[in-house]
Amino acid sequence: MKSLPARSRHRLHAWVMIVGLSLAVASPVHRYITGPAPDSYPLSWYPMFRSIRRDTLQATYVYGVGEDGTRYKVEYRFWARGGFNQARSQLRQAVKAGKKSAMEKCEQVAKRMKRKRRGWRTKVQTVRIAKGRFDAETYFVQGDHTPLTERVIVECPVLRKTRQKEEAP
Amino acid sequence: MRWIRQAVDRFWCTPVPAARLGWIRVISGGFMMFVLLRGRRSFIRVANSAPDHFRPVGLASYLEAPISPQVYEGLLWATIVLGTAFVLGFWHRFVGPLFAGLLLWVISYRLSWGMIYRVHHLVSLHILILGLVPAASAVSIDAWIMRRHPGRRMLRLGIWPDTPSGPHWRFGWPVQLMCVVTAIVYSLAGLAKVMGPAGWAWGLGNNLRNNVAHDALAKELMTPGGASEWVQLAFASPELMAAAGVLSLVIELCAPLFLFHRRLAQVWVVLALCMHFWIRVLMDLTFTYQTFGFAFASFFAVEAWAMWVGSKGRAMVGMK
Repeated sequence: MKSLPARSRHRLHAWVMIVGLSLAVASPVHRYITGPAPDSYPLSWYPMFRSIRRDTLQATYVYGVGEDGTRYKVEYRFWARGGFNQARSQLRQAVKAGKKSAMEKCEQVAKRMKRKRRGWRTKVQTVRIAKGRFDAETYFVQGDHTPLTERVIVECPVLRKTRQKEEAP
Repeated sequence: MRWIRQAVDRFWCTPVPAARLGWIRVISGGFMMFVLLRGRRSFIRVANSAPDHFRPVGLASYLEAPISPQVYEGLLWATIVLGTAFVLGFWHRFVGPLFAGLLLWVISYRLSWGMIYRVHHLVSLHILILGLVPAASAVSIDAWIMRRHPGRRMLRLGIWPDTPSGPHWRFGWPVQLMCVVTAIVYSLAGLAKVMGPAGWAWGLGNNLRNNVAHDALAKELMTPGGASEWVQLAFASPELMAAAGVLSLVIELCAPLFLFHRRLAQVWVVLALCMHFWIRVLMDLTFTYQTFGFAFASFFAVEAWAMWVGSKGRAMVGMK
């Protein structure tokens, strides 16, 4: 087989890459017509921009409750190994999968909380996973952080050894 | 027909010096190396996650179950070694495709644990282009080998053959392709907004404001530092958010149109940088590759900047 001259070969290489890559990168555009599907990498259809957000915001989150009823914010590192968004997504998926998987997540947080020896974490007695609705303006402008409604999905105790000893007869 | 061909050639095949592609390789490759080295612990930690979180994407899609974390760590280090050779421009003919392929796989696997971060998409596509073209004909060890040891066949084995010495269209089209890919990515983000349920109402600013608030609320509830202290700006004036909404749609949807003139394309880059700065302030969200301008190196004569910096540096050393 006779090989192509160098110039034609270079032009072929160029056009294959130009057409191929441009079409490939633009290909997720069909998702806007055919409907949502899981996103991918390195070709994305940027589904996060599709969402419509109301003035009332919804969130799934974890918090701790102390003996005196004080609420403590539980940060995402207690239940996920990746970054913040990954933790957020894993929590949402666990709740979506049902009470059993939400409880597993809750116990995972409680277990990690139990290991803490210093700071506010030692005061947490119960861990809760909840879904709440907040009014955006009330939260960010007026500074009132109370949820409009809140539904506790699961809750689990933080079982500390010292406490168990105290309670033992 | 001839004028169409001329126009297509003018758009795609403008001759540029090899040094431009070389510097772009150093910038994009250097950025990727920074991401891999800085994030290596997090990459490995995520690969150790519980298998039930595994949802493979991209090149990892063919996997039915996670691989051993040790194997992943080995592949990550291999990518880092290849990445170093890529940045230095050593044996680019082989290293380029290998690094691009392995990088796509390693990041695919990293993103296969329930959350797809979009921060790596554009830089990966840029690396893919740079890996498959003669991007190490200047500013590289390959160029040094060609200058110092032109007769050594073994050393030349991994170097792209027949690369031109002066400005050439073979260096021009990859640079233009990087610009086009960047523009397509932005316009996809714009299309996602206007073709979604909110439609053109994105331009009114209310949905944008609530998106900012939604993200800020999650940060308030789940991160130690909470949301950006500037988030209240989103509530300060509906007009401000409407202007931001319209401007973001123009920047994203019209991105490909700006490419038809070099200066216009550079204006678009400035607008895009402003948009990323605004996102940074309001949402505390940094798309580092874009926000710090690395993603837009292909829109400028970066080799001239490098030469200017070099001459200033030499002058300073000379002064001392």
